[in-house]
Amino acid sequence: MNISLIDVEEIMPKKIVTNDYFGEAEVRRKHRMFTGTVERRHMEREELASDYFAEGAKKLFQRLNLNPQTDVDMILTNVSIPDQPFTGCGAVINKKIEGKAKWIFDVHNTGCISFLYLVDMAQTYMQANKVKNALICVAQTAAGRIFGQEDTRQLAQAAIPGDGFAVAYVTASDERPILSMEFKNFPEYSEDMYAHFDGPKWWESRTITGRIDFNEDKSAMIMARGNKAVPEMIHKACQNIKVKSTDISYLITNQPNKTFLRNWREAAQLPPEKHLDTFEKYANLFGAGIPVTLAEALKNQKIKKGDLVCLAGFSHACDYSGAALIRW
Amino acid sequence: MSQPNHVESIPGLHRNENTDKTEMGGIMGDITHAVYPHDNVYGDYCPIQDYINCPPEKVFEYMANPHSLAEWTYSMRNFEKLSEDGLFVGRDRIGDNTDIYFKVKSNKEALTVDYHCAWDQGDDLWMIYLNRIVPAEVVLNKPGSVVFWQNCRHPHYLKNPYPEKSPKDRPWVGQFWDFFYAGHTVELQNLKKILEYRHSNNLPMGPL
Repeated sequence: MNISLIDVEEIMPKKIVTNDYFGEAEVRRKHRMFTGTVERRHMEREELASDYFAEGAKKLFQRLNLNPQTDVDMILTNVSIPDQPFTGCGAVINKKIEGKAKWIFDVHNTGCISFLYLVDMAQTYMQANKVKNALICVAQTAAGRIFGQEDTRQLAQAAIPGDGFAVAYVTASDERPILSMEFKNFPEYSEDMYAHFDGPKWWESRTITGRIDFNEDKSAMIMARGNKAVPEMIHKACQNIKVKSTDISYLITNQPNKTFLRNWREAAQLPPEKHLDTFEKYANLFGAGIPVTLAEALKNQKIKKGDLVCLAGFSHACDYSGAALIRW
Repeated sequence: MSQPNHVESIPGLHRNENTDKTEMGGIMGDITHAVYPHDNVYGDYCPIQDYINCPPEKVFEYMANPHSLAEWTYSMRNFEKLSEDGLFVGRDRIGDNTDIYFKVKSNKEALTVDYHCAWDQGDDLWMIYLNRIVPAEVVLNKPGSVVFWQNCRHPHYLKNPYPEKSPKDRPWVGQFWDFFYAGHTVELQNLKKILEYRHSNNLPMGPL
């Protein structure tokens, strides 16, 4: 049985933050990992990921004429900086949409490619006949919550993330099948990106803001890993169904920086117009990057019936990589 | 005030004095792609290399002997010595009815063996194959040799400088430039297999 990606809705925070909001411009200019973005969105302090997801889900219900009481068996979420550290927001979403989903998982790993992993989880439950449909909710919330504060926004990496939310509806059907999925885990890279807290542990009383860090010494290595890992997944996903990467109608990857976008497009031998992104206006949306870009492409009616769409990327410092191919 | 010949007066250099590590990281990121088009890598220069499990002295001796070329190259055969300064003529069987003229210029101390060649005439040997043999002991910490083989795209590859000396309707050697990487790779494998076979079986190294 196939899993079909029926529709995706993006919900973006209203607050627009331009480059001059951040620390020393010179640092950003020189550090090309971080250049190429004009603006990004930040969520406000009091806002909740669960509210954004509920808003997006309601738009989907309306557009697809769905009843949340009967048409949502499963809710899967990934929120980078969660609303609550202990409980997750899946059940809260179920409450806010007045749903009756029985299977709810709040997944906290697989970052930039969590959308693909969650689709794969949903498919596994569908193949086991436990669910017929699922809401997949992916959010990047580190921009406002971590890098919107006075001290952290001076850091070189503060301008990288933007906040964004996406909700997708998937069903067990052949309408818009996911033809191929490939995943890989690299245990050896699992500790190269981390939340960094000077002084007390993050759960202890503290006055300094925490932050998300890459191991600076390894940033060149992470570029090299991503250069290999993502093309490998794209080509494997293509081999599974005996197509070439040049048969891809549209490629949507996670969007860490312009160099990665160039390199992945070149490795897939695709022209720039076939590699879609929202990097300039939304910055690095991490896990939300793939579904938000997909939602925009659908709104702009770029993707047509019959198109072969490839979603691919890697997460964190390359602890996970993956790719999926969808026949639209 | 620095002198005009001082390195700081030369524009466009990136040294740690004027380019910090962060900026250098960005520059390197720009240059590093996931894949490289063939032309970017083999457009003007065609470098290849491989490890050969045979001592550097034996590799040098074999490569420096003109007659070895008739064993390990794909198409050079039937050599005849034309002069005492080492000019040979042979047949290059990738071209129909094609003579290839060549000299081997080697330096035992530097372990370099260069083949200076040309099709159709022996006065202007402009096709130059540069080879350097390096003891693998130093670079790979194991016995044997590494052979580096390089060609540069001389302008004559684009246009035959002596068309009057060429057989009629024969394709020009420069038309095959894009296949030099593949062709030379096959030939380097021949060289490797011959040397490794004779060395590992304690046979005379040849050429026979």
